[in-house]
Amino acid sequence: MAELPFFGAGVSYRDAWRWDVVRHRDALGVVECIPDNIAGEAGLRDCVLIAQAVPVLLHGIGLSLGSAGGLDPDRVRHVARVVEAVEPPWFSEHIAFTRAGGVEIGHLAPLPFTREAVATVAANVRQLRAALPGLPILLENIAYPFSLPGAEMGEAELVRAILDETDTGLLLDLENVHANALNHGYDPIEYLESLPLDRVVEVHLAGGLWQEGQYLDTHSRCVPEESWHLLEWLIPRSRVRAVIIERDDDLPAFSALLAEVRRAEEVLCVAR
Amino acid sequence: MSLDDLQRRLALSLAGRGPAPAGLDENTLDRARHSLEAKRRRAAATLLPRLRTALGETWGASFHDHAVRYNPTGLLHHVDDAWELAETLLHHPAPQVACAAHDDLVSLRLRFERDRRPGALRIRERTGPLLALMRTPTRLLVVKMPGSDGKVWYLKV
Repeated sequence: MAELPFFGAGVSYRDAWRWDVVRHRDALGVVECIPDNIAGEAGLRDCVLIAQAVPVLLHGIGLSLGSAGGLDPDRVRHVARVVEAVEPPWFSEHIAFTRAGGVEIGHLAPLPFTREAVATVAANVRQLRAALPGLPILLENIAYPFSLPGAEMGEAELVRAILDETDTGLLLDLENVHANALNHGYDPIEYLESLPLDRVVEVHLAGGLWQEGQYLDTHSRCVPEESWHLLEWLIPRSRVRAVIIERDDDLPAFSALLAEVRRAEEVLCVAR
Repeated sequence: MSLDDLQRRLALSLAGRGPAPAGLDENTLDRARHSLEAKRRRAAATLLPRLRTALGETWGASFHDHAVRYNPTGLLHHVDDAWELAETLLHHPAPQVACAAHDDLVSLRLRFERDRRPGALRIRERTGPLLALMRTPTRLLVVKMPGSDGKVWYLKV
């Protein structure tokens, strides 16, 4: 992971921002695309065109690396095809599962904090790596509204064990850390201190909202100050190469997003 | 309980088709279920705007009936979800609902093709041509030429 290039700050790609991304390419260090959203040649062509204007990262959401039932070969082939066309510097996915027993959950579900979960992710990452030879893989921590029974370790320990076992980098989602700290009542800085910060390659930032007494990572609001503080704490302690501002719902004007990109860039510059 | 078993039970429970796995609080799971269904409903409302309007106050209940019955699949599972809902409402007794379902389905078919078999690539970009009739707000003949960027014409009839 040591040789991976530095990109700076950017945004997660949404179709609605296709032209904004190209128009403001000088203000973006990087753009992150989701291969799961590419349903054919036109989508792939768009992604390749964007990659000609701005460096593109690929971020998977549906491989279900934590599924005990293994990976779906069609999905792995799809990711490999997009990777081949876009040639990103790394590929990232989540420490989570999204389907089991023929049911597509439609969201990232947490894994139990067990050795069996570590071994399952490791086996699935080996299979993925065989389809993406030579490409560095990053794994992302998720926001989990509930913990599964039978824990044999803490969440940070699970993340560390998986990264060790799979020899992958960490995509650290600071908004997920913020959400988990609120919902599970822990200190986010203590949590960050227990992670292998030397493995952090990329950071995600987003904004959520409170609903029925729970803080939800909805990607529908601007980045809260708490997450900016976590970024300011993290940057001098790690070698972050890219910061992505994520937004899925209630899409703002692109200028609002660019203001957040500039702020992330300023935090990155202080450390450089 | 093995990881495989735990994941199967949790997935079924989150889909509203089974109780919470042992050791998990039913209220917590219930909140997660509602949140997941709300996410599906929002995505469907975006893809099926006419149907959302035609169903009015019954939209939420109609979607709930669909959500517990149908398990969307594939990379674009939100499109698969909306497609299935529109198809099941094509024969709704209220003509305005059936008409909205039909027209929203035409809009989906302009962009996507849907394989009969479930699977990762069930929903794909439409590359084939399309000839369809839309009925609201005015009757339009929709013609899409072949190709993933095939030109589309809307002709008044």
